[in-house]
Amino acid sequence: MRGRPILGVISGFFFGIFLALTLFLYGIIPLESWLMVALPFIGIILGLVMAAWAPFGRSKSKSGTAPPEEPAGA
Amino acid sequence: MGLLTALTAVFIAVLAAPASAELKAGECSGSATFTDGTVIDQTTPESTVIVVPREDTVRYAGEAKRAAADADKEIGFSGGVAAKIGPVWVGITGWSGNAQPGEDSASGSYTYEVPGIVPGTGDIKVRANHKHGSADECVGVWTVRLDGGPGVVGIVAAAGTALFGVILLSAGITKGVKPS
Repeated sequence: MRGRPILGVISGFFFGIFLALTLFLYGIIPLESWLMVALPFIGIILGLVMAAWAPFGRSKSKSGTAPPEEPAGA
Repeated sequence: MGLLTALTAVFIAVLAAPASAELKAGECSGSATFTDGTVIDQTTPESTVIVVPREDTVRYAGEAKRAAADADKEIGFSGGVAAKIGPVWVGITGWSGNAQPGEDSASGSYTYEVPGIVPGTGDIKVRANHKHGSADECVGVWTVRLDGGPGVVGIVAAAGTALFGVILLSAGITKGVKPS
């Protein structure tokens, strides 16, 4: 993985917990909703996806997609 | 703890006498009456959302029926209250003891006050059960929510969501990339 999978798993887990708590406290989902249990695990998966995808901080030279430089004076 | 105390008081009141819940099994009866006139009893539908005041004095009354074989002897009883979190019932409190013949009902009042730090909640499915000797177990299920808004806890939860959301996004920063 090009990103940070451990950071993704930990932050995704807590993101899911806080999101579930927020949705419950604001009356959006009931405590018995399956989302209360599922959101932390969905967060873990999101963290792993982010780490695998790693869309931020890619250098153009590494990806090989950088366009050729324009000739000087053009 | 304040919320648990309040909920426990209401549930015990329903099973031991007063409250509001739909009886799913057994032959118990009971009711709980809040000072605003809200009455909960064994006929209250599970779909009815009971808003529990943050402070109140609840009048309760309840009765459990004995099996014929237990009519003239001391029996044991037990019960408890659980809340449903996702698909799982999580126990909140329980009770147990012995009852002499004739000790099959209870009534009274219970005063409670939920601390201000405890937030109001969304809907909570609650189940209470009571086993009285060899009689069929009484089981009631109903839906409650604690009065009040999300408060400080809600703000902290929302802030935590935002914070860990940002950290989650940072997991997508490519490792070892240094600016050239």
